[in-house]
Amino acid sequence: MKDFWSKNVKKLVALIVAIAVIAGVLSVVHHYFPQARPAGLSHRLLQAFQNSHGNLTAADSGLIRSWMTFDYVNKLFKLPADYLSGQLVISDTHYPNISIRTYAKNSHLNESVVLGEVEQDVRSYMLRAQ
Amino acid sequence: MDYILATALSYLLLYKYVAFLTLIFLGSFILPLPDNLILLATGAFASQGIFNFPLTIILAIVVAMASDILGYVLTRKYGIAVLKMLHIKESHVTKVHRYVNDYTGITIFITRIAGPFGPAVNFLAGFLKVSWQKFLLFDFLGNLVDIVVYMVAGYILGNYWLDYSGQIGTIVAVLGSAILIIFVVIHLYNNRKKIK
Repeated sequence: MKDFWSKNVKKLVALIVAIAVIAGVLSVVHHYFPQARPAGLSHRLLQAFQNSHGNLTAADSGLIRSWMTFDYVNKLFKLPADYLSGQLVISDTHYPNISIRTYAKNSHLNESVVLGEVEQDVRSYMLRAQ
Repeated sequence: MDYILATALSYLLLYKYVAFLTLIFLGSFILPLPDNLILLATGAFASQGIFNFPLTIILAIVVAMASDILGYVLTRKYGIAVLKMLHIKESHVTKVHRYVNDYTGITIFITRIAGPFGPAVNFLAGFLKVSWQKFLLFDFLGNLVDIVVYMVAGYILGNYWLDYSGQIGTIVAVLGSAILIIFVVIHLYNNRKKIK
């Protein structure tokens, strides 16, 4: 065991130093070379951080993807549980625990059409709520 | 977004921890799953209250390590038989033996973070009988850095994680490569000193 640590301690220290050096170099570049920063990245990251726990708006309906379940969309946009099932006339017994894609497939509907309808319904609800 | 990731994300939302742990286990063991994107998404889901953030990090580290250890143990114990089963030629393994021997720790560490070679390195480490302490130490450090970085990034980006998934992947790959280059340079420098 002692032998293992004496053999590897240098590598471990080098690993920690390597990570620290990279972090240091990146922070120096970030500080002294503002032109090297992607335009507005800090601002966009800060905005994303602030929004990550904030309420979504009608403009955010574009975030919806077909892999999302109806339950997730309801939670994300704080929709009443039966709102989307009513709007889309969903009779699938798995609702809301079914993804938009699986629902479209099971109902023999076009996935992007269903996705577009979900987005539209969410947008309408959010605009009314605002 | 590819079909595998979309399916994995749906399963994450439907079956939560069971899906998360299964995906991490299979991705670390042998299947080419987009584990890092799954971690990023899970961090974002945790920020939305769907997963418990600290619990998920701990579970992910435990399951990823268990999966890595399984790969390591299989080839350590059954060696050639497992390699044959995986259609890996023994000559291929011996060719990389010397290289891996020089960089065992850093290879294990880096392949936890970037690239699809994690499972292959686990099998190789077992076959080459890399010491238990070394494998566990670098496996733990690699998994810790990988899981914490991706999950914290997902947690911070929250609803917008998908918009930044490409950039996060690139940043991690660049950092991983930088660490590897630093180690190779140190190794070459040490070798040169020994020759002198």
